[in-house]
Amino acid sequence: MNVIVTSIDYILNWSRANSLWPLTFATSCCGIEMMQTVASNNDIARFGSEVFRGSPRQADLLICAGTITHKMAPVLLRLYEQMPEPKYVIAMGACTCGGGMFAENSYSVVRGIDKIIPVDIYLPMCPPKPEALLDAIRKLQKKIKKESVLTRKDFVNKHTSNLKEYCGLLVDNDFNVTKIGVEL
Amino acid sequence: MNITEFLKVFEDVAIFEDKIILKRNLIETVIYLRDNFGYNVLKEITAVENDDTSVELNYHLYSSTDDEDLVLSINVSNETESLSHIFDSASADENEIYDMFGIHFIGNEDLKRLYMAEGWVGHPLRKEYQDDDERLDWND
Amino acid sequence: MTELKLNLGPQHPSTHGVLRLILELEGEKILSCEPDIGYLHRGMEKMAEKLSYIQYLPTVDRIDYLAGFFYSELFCRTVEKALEIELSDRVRAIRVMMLELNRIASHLLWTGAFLMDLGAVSPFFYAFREREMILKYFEKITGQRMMNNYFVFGGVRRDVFDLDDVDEFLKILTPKLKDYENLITENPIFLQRTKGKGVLEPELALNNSITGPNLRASGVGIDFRKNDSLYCGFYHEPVVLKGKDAWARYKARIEEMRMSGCIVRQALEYLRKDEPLKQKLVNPLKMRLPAGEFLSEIEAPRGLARCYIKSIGEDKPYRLKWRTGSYYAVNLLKKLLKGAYLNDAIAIAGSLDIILPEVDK
Repeated sequence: MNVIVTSIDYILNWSRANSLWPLTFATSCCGIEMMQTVASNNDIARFGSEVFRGSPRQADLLICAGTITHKMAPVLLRLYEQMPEPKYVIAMGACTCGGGMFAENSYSVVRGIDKIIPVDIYLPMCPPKPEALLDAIRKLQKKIKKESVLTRKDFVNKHTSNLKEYCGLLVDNDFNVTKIGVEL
Repeated sequence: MNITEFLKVFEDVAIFEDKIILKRNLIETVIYLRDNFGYNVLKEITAVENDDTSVELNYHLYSSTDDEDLVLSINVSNETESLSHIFDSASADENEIYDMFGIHFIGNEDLKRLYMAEGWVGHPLRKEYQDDDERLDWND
Repeated sequence: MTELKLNLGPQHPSTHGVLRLILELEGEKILSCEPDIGYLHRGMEKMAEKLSYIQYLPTVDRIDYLAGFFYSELFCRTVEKALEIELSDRVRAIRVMMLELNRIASHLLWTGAFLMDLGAVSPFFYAFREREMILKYFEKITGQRMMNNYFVFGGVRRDVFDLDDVDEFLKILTPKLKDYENLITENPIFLQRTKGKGVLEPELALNNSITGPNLRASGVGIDFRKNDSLYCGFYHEPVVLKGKDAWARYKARIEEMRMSGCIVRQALEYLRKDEPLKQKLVNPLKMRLPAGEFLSEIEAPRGLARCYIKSIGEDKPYRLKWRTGSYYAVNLLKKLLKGAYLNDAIAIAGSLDIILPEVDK
C-alpha cells in the first residue's frame, strides 16, 4: 500500500510545489516588498508563481503581508475559508509573526495571525527583503515535497481544534464567522 | 489680519499665545472670518483632553490668498455645534473626534464610528480608557 | 433599471490598501458612495503617550511607508523646534537630498500602480526597475530599503558617501521619464480613460482641504516648500496645471519628478565639497521637552502633513496628533464619484493617490 501511495505522493507534491499561485493580499508595508518581488529585478515567476490571482477561489497560496487588526480579522478568516484545498499560508513580516512593533502598546492589533489561521512558514524582518521572500517560498516548496496525502488532513484538523478554543468570539462550533464587528 | 478690527465685532474672546479663545459664537465667527478676511481652508481640527475631563477643540484656519494661519479654540464637555455645512472637510474631522473622544456634534448627519469596529465600547483616546478588554484574547 | 448594492471590498488587487467602498448602482451608474475605513487602525496616537520620544521615532516611518523620510523629518522638526536646535548646512543638504529621492520613488510607484489599475501592465515593471536603484542607494547608507530610521533629533545618523551612485541615477532619470511620456501621455486608450474624468474644481478642493499635486493640478499654486526653512538656498518652483481632471493629476506628478531631480542635483553639488559633518545631537535618554504646544508642517508627496505635540514637561508626549493628506481625499470620494460610471470610479480613486496607513493611522 505504501509503495503506491509514495509514488502518487511524489507526483502530486512535485506538481503542487512547482506552481503555487498566490492571492493578492497586501494590507500594509510588506505589500510593497511583495510587489517588488514580482517586478523584474527579483522575479517570482521563475519559482512557479506565474500570476497573482485576484479571487481566493482560484489561488492556492496566501502570503499574508501586513498588519492585521481587530476589524480586519473576520475578513482574513473568510478569505482563508474560501480558498479550496490544498492551500498554504506564509506569514510575512514581523507584524504577522507575533505582533511586531505594535505588540506592546496597541489596542487593536492581532498579535500574530496564527491565532486565526494555520500557518506553514514564518518570515520575520520588518520588512523582509525580496531575497528573503524567495527563500521562504523555496522552504515552502521543500516542505510540500515531504508531506503525504494521508497526513495533510491531520495537520489542518489539529490546528483548527486549537483555533476554536482561542477565538471563541470570532468562530462558532461549525467554524462559521460570527457577526462581531463587521457586516460582510 | 488686523486683530483690533476683529475684536471690535466679537466680544467674549481672549488671545493666548497666538490662539484665539472663544466662549461662544463659533459659527458666526467662522463665517465672518471667511467672508471678510479670506480664511477659506480648514486645515484640521485638533482635540486635547484637559485634567478636568473637558476637551479643548482647536480649529486651524488658513487663507489661501494671503498665506496666513489662525487658530480658534473652545472648551467643550459633551456636545457642540458642527461646522459641516460650512466646510466639507469638517465632517471627516468631527467623525474622528466622536470616535476617539466621544463628543457629539449637533448637525452632522453621518456621525458614526469610523476606526473602531461596530460594537466597540469606549472611546480610546480618553485618559481613562483601559485596554484590558477581556473579549480580546490576543491582548496578552 | 435595477438597483444594486456593490461592495468594493477590503481585499482587492490594487495598491492603495484595505479601502472598502459601498456603492449603490443603478445599471452601471453610481448613485452614492460611502467609504468604510478603519481596517488598518493600529492606534499610533495612543501609542505615543506611553513611549518616550526616541522610542517612538522608528514607528513614525510606518505612517506612510512610501514616504517614510517625510514623516520622520516632520517628527524630528517638531522636537527640534521645541528644543531650539539649529541645523548646519551640510545636514540640511543631506536631508533635502534624501527627501527628494524619496519623493521620486513614491511618484514612480504611483505611476506603475495607477496604470496597472487601468489595465496596462508594462509601466509597472519599468517603474519598479528605476525604484530599485534608489532603494539600493538607501540600503548602502542607512541599512534598510524602506522604513530607514535615519534622521535623529539634531542631525542624521552618519554621513553620506559614494555619491557617484546618485549621479548615475540622475543621468538615466531624464531619458527614462521621456520614455514613459512617449508611451503613456498621448496614448489614445489612456486619454479616453482619464481625460475629463473626475473633474475637481478649485473651490471644491479648498473647501475639502485638499493639498499637494491634487490641488496644483486644479490651478491653485500652493506649495508649502516655499516657507520651509529646510529648503532655504535651493531653487524650486511649484508645478501648476489647469486641466482639473485625472490626466492633469498624472501630468503634475511627472513634472514634479523632474523638479525633484533638479533639487537633488543642487544638493549633490553642495555635498561634493566634502566638509566635515557638524551636528549637535541631543542625549535621548535625558531629553525632556519644555511644557507647551508645538506644531510644524511639511509638504509630503500626498499633500500637507502636520504634527502637533502637547507636552507637560515629561519625557513622553501628553498628546500627539497627525494630520495627513490622504484622509481628506477619501472624504472627497463621496462627492466625486456621484454620477460616474463604474469603470471610471477605479480611474478616479487611483488618480487621487490614496494610501491607507495615512488614512487610518
